[in-house]
Amino acid sequence: MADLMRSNGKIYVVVAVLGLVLIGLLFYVIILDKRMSRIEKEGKEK
Amino acid sequence: MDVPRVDNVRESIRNLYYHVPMWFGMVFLMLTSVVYSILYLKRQDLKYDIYAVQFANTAIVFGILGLTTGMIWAHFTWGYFWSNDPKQVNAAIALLIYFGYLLMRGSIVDDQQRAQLSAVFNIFAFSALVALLFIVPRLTDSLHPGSDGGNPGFDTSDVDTRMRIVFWPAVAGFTLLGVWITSLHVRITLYRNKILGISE
Repeated sequence: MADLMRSNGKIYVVVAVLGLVLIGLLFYVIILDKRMSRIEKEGKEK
Repeated sequence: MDVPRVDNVRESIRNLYYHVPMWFGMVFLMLTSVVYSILYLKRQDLKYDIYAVQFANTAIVFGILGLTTGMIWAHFTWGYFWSNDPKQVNAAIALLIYFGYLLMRGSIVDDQQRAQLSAVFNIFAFSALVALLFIVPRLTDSLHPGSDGGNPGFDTSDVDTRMRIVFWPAVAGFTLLGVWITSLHVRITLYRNKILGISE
């Protein structure tokens, strides 16, 4: 793993960082989805 | 796009397009958040409180991503995930203060009281952020680049012109992405309050 990350001029470090940013933002949007589902349910109950 | 050859950083120099815009985005979003907090204190409208907390939420997500992407980058360039670099430590302290902001909000039941107290807390939190990220680093040395590491900004000698062409649009793009996701959170919260009959 460490060798892979240091191969090809450490380009996989950029891949890891970009991947983490995308996963993080995706996770934040999933939270939004969950909040919307909860609010839809609250609206129906009312 | 060609990039400068820097020993020990090598191709990972391109992390400038992903790691650094997280911090720029975080600062812009926290600034927006504190502006809404001041607006709340001035107009006493709960709508501004919702804007303030949602901008702070997104800013914290950006901050966590900035910190974690920085740790990965640090591991393969400085040798350690965490080297107690002044900028690492200060950013972590700033995030802890904002966690305190969210904790405080979570512990108050009354809407008006929560809005009032957290607006004041937000002003202190943002002041601390400015001190931690823009003043303290100038007084010390750091592993980070930027006029021997101390300078939180960077000038012509720190960032290659070719990289700026990608860097600034990346800052704008990630910040606007954050603003957009925040606006979705705000809209759904306002809608919830409307259907549940909570006054604004």
